[in-house]
Amino acid sequence: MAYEVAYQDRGTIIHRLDPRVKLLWWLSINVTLATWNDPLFLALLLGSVFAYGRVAGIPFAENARHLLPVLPFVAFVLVANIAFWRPPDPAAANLIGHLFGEGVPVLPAIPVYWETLIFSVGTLLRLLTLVLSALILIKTVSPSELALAVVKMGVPPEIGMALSMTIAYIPVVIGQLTAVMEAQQSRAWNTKVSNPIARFRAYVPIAIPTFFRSFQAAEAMASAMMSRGFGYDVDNRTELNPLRFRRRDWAAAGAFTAALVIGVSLGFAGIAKYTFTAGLLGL
Amino acid sequence: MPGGERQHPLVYDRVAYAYRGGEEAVRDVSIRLEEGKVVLITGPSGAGKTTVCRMANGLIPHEFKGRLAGSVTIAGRYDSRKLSVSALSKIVGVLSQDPETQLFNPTVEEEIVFGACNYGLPVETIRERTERLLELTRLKPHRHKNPHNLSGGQQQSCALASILAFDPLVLVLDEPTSNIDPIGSQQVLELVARLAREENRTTLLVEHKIEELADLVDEMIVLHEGEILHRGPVREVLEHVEYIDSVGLSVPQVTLLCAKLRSAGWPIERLPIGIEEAVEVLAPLIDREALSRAPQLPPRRVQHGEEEVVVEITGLSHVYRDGTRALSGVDLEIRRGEFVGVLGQNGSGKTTLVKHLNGLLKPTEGTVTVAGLDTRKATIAQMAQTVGYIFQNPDSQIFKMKVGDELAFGPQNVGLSEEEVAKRVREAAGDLEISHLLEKNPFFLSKGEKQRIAVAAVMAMKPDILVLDEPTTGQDFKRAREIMDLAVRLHAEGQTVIVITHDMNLAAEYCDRVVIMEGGRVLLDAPAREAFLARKKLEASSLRPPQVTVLGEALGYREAWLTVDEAVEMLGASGGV
Repeated sequence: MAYEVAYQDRGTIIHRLDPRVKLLWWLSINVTLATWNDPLFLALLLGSVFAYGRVAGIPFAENARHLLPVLPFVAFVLVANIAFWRPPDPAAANLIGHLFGEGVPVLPAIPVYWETLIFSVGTLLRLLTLVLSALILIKTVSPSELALAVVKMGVPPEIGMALSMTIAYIPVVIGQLTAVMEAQQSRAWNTKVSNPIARFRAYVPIAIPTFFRSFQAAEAMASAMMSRGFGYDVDNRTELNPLRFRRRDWAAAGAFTAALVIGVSLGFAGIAKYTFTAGLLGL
Repeated sequence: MPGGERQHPLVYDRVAYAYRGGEEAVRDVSIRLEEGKVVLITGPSGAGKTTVCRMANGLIPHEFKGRLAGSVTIAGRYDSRKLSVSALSKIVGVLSQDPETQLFNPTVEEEIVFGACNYGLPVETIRERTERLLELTRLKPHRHKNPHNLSGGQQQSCALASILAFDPLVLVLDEPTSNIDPIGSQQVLELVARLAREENRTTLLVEHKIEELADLVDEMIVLHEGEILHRGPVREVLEHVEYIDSVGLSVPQVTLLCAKLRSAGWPIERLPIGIEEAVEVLAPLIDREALSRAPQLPPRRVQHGEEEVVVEITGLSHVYRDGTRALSGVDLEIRRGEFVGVLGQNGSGKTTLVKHLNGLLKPTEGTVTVAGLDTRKATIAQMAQTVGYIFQNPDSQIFKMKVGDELAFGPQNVGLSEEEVAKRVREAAGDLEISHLLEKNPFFLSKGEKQRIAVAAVMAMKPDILVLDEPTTGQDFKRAREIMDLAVRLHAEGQTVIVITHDMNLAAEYCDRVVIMEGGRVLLDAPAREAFLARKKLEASSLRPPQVTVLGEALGYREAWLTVDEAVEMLGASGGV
């Protein structure tokens, strides 16, 4: 599992693109989703990310599986949105009912509107799109390519290398996490408790050893990198495959830029707003 | 570089070092490495070997804080205090333990060129050298793979190639074969020695595997508690083999055997360091005829042929999510009270097999029944009480601030009463001799103490079956032996023990029955004495029998000797003085 969330050259057209073009794709998706909150538009955006992944040789099932671990967090955000987000004009909104009725002591009654539900589903899709696009970027851009790309874009070489090594470190941490979970499961560690606070506490036996081991691994990795000349003379580092923009890079960059412009325009024009789906539902 | 400076490319002069807040890890160590020589440093855990390696390229004092006395001089002129780690590493390539943290690039090829690119070597030089190293390490077919998807031996080779790619004058390798099976580790060590000769590269090697290195190194240094205990040519140092064995090092079995015979009065002038030499030394001193007729060795422990079956595996196959088939049609039965070794090369499926025993993995096909529980249906709590799994690294499980709480974690998870939990904590702590640590914070204890805590935490669950996963990895022989001796004690009380290992000497010494895995199948399942004579099947799984077993065969004994003491006993009865 750990090294599934790492760059792997699957030999597709996406893998052959210049890393800067792939960064542009990622940027176009994420800037667009920041300006949208309509679930229908966001579902299409998420679908486009899955499709991009498929072109990059990553099966739908693999991408869907990698979203599973974030589902508890996404569900938490969904519940929090339903509980706290209100339409700008509640008087004109469509009330479904109340969470915790009048008779429940201590807890206030929480109104739930159709608009809240639609907006919350949009937020959920936003989060999934955000996570999936990052995962696909990591799986399709080699960390060293990424370092080179950001350096070409004017970022100091030290920061570029640090960024690439941070990405390379992700699978190491996932590997540590798996080992820790197996060790604790062997001592009957279980998270299947209903109380959310107890559930949160149940992750302490995983979090502490993972943090401790990851910290050790980070130190060892830093020593290994320095022992292989990391930071020795960054300005004169040899580049075996210098980056070069080809025709297909220009074409893809053009398409992603157009998508970005259209996406942001739809967002700022208020078209990709949750009211769009609400309207379709006759609300 | 002037000729004089090349003669001693790395010099430690009366070096002492103490990590911040700790005692001196090394004291008064002076080593002058000669050009083109291969020097082996060995010693038990805590002897200061890794500290010596860290000083070679300035990781100490630049990255580790502490007190450094004396000096380390590189290439005759560079003081390790004055240059940065990355600058010194251009001359002294240092490879640390644990390939997991040494490999951080997405492909083997990028891993190898990383250092050479950092040092700004010309593109053509890098390409030529990379091709040569890919060829030498047999990694050419894997050049586009993620290094973490390689076998343990290939990972170590890749890490080694990544250092050799920038052609350092000195190579310092800290346990480069700690995770590899016997034949894989022999290949890596031979490659290191060959490159040292071909490229005249000075090499400092830290290893526990003296047996495999005896023929390959020019000089040997034994460190003990931070000081040099012995140094000199291998043969000279091994004259002290009994003492070296007593401080907890794995020594060549034939050397130790002959030293023991010599102590018993046998006329052995020069101790052998390999099997052929040992045959030459011993053949004239024994009565081969008497040896061939010597009675069979008795079983070491009570045999368990009549006990109930506690593990029943039928038609087990496992395919990982990425499509890798790790097990194919495995059938296996283990009876209560057996002491079984699961052996095999890296990637043979042994860990996948045993992870099915406590339900960490579920069968893709087939069934696994443990103590009457179908692992597919049993709960985590049921499996944890049935199978105790002791992992390689204690840091994977320790999270409480008190040792006592750490030991109570498992019993509490399965819902035992407070009194029962307290009783089990006391018993497990007593068994592992850590009662005095119950109030201490485990994070501040030594690795050996942490290992005992991890074992005690599992034993507090009172499992029917105990699984030890590679108890020798990352441990010295003495510590591995401590864990195995504990397993023997528990076994004597009726515990079923399963050990995964590729340390043949350890398996021969402790296991009654051996299951050899190869390509996800069981290649051989036999009593230890039979298994270690099945040379072809062992080789097919990159394994080798212990030196004494091969020696016994060569001298004409018809069964397998499994330990040095057995060999001493049998030879004593058939020849000598």
